[in-house]
Amino acid sequence: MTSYVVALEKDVRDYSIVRSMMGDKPLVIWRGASGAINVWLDRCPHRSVRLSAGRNMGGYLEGVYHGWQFDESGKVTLVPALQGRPSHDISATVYSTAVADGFVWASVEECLPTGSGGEPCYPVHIAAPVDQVRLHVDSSVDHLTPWGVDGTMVYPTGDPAQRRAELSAIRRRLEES
Amino acid sequence: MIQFHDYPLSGNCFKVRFLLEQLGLEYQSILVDFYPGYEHKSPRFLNINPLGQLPAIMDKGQAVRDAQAILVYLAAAYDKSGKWFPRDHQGEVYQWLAFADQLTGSISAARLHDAMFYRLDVSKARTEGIKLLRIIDEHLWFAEKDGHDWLLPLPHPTIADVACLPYIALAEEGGIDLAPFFSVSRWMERFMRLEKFKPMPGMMPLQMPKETP
Amino acid sequence: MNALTPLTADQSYLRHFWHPVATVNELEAADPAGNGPIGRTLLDEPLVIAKLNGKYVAMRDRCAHRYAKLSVGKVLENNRIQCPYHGWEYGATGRCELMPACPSDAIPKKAFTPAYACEERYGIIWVRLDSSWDCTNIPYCEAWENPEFKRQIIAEPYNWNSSAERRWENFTDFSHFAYVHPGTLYDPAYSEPAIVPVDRVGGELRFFMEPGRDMLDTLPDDSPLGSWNYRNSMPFSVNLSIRLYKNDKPFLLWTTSSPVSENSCRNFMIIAHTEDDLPDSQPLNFQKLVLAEDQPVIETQPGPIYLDEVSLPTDKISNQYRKWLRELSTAAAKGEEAFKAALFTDVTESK
Ligand SMILES: N[C@@H](CCC(=O)N[C@@H](CS)C(=O)NCC(=O)O)C(=O)O
Ligand code: FES
Repeated sequence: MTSYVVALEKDVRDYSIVRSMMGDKPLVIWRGASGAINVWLDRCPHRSVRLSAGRNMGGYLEGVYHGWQFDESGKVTLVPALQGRPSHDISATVYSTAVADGFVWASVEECLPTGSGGEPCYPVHIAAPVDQVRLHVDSSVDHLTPWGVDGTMVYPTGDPAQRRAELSAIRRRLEES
Repeated sequence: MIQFHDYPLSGNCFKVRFLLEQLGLEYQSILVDFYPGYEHKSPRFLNINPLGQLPAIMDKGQAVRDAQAILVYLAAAYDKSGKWFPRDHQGEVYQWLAFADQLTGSISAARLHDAMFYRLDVSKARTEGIKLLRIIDEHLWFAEKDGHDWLLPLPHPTIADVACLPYIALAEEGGIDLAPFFSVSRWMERFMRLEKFKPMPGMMPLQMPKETP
Repeated sequence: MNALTPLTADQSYLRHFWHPVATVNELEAADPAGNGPIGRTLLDEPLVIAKLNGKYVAMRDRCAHRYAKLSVGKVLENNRIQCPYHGWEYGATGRCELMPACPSDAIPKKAFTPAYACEERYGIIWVRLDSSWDCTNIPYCEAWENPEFKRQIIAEPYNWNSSAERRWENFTDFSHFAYVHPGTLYDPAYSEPAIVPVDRVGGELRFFMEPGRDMLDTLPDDSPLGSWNYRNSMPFSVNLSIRLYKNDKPFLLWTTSSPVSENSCRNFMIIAHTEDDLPDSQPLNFQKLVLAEDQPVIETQPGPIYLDEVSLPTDKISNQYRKWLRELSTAAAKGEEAFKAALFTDVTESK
C-alpha cells in the first residue's frame, strides 16, 4: 500500500484542525496534547457529520453535532447525551501516520515515507487526475496525492516562489485543456 | 448614535457589526427583512440607500453605504489606535477591500443562488470564487512564511481581513469546498479566535480553547 | 473506507406518499395571471405545476414531442399548458390537445405527459407520484384546526443540500440542541435529554417531551420553550405543538421536507401562534437563525442514511424513525397490503 503526503507538518498546529484528502477519503488531521499528529477519516461514526467541523480541544476532538469526544487513539470516551455513562467500543477510522521531511504522510495500511529533502512549499491543488498531472510534474521534488476522483494535490519542495510559478503554469494548462 | 441597517444572515452586514463591536461603538441595529421580505427594496430603505443594498449606516445625519466604505469610514472616524486602517498601508488595504467586493460578486452570489433562489449563473460564480480563493490562499501562505498572520504584514488584523473574511467563511453555503485552501482555513481560524468575535449563522460554531500556540 | 450500506436500498416507496412541491404563493408569483407554470423536482423527477380550470395539476415536465420543458412554457387562457418549443397544448389530464403545426391531424396516442395526483392544502401544493394504492394522506397540520391560533404563517420554502431524511432527523434530534443551538434553543448545561416513549399511530410517529423550565431565564424570548408534543406524519413531516411555558399558550411549528433528490431537499414551514400583533418577521427571523445554525453542520453529512452509523439509546427517535422507514421500504416491495400494514399498524409504548 502506498503512503501519501496529506499535509505539511508545520500547518498542523495545536488546537486546530486541518482538512485533507487521500483519494476518495476525506481526512481530518489534528495534533493532540501529546504532540503526535492524528489522521482520521473525516466522518463521525455517530451521524456521519464531518469531524473536521468539530473542535480540537487538545486532549480530545469534539464532534460538532452531538459533542462526542474522541481521544487521540480515535476512541470515543464521552457521549454527553448518555449522561456520562460509558458506551460500547466506538472509534473513528484511524490511518497510520508518519512525519518526515516536514510532511505528514498517511496510509491505509503501514507507512513508508520516502525521504525527499528540501523545504516543503506551497501545496497546489490541480483539478485533474493524478496520472495526468504526473506527466507534467517532476516526481523527484513533488509528492502527488489523489484528491477526490479527478483532482490532485501537489506537495512540492524547493524554492517556494519558483515552484509556485511552475505549478501554476501546469495547473492552467491542465485545467483549461 | 449610529444607526445600522442590518440583516443577520448577510456577510456584508457582518463586517460592519464586527468592526462596530471591536471599536466598542454604541449603535442601534435596525433589522431589514432581506429574504423573503425584500425590505431592502422598500421605499423606506431606498431613501437611505438608493442602490437597495445592505449594509448602510446613518451617522451624524449622514448616510454611508457599502460595507467596505463603512469600514473605512468607521476606522477613520473612530479608531484612535489607527490599527484597523493603518496609514502606512493604504494601498494594500484598498486592494483587499476591492478584492472583498469581488468575493461578494462571486462566492456570495453562489450562496444567494443556493440558499435564496437567486437566478444567476452559479457555476460561473463558483469558478470565479475558486480563482479568488487560490489568490488569497497563496498570499496568506507566503505571509505566514514571513511570519505574518494577517493579510497585511502587521502584528494585528485590519479592515482588509474584516472585509474578506465573511464570504470566505460562508463559501460552503454556496457549494464551494474550502478543504483545498489550507492557509485560508488557518487564517479563518485565527480570525474566529479574536476577542469579541461572534460568528454569524452559517459559520461553523467554533468555540475553541483560547490558548493559541 | 469500506463500502457503506444505505438504510433503504429501494427508495421507490416514497412515491406512494404525498409531498409538498410549492406554496400557492410561489405559483401565484410566477406569472401575472397566477396560474403558473413553475418547474419543481420531486424524487429526481422534474415536474411542471400549474393551475388549470381552477385546479392544481402536476405533470412530468417534458413535452412528448421533442422533450422541451413545459415549465418554461405558458398557461393559456383556454386552460392548457403550451410547450415553449412548437406550441403543443396539454390539458389537465396530461394529454396533448392541439399540435399547432398540423391542427387537423389525429393526435397520436403517445402524445401525452404523465399527470400525477395533485392537491392544495395549507396553502401548499402537494403531489403523489404513485396513486395506484391510494392509501396515504396529506400530512397532518394543526394550524387551522386549533381555534386558539390567530395567525398562520406559511413561510417561503428553503433548500438544503441534504436529504429529507436528514432534515427530519435534525428537526427531531434532542441531543444536538446543546451543541448546535447553544443560547438560541437550548442551554448548553442541558446536554442530557430524556429518553421518551415513541408511538406509531395512524401513520404518525408521536412523542412528547418537556425540556427544563429553568432555561426560561437564559434563552431569548423568541425561543419556543414549552412542552413539546410531536405528531409527525411519515415520512418527512413534523407537527410540533408547543404549550409555551412563558404564557401557557399554544405555538405551532410545522415543517415538511420534500425529497428533491438524494442530496437535496426543499423545506416547507408553517408557524401558528395566538398573538394579535406579532409581526410575521419576528418568529420567521428566529427560525431563520436556528436553521442557519443547523444547515452548515447537516450539509456535512452525506444525504443517504447509512446502517453503519453508530446509534445509541439516546438516539431513540432517530432509531425508531429509521426502523420505520426501513420497514416501509421493504413492505412496499412486497405490495399494497404489506405497505398498508407497515404504515397503519399502531404500536404504542406510552400509556
Ligand atoms: N458593494 C456592496 C454590496 C452589498 C450587497 O451586495 N449587499 C447584499 C446583501 S449582503 C444586497 O443588499 N443585495 C441586494 C441587491 O444587490 O439588490 C457592499 O459591499 O456593501
Ligand atoms: S454526529 Fe458526531 S457527535 Fe453525533
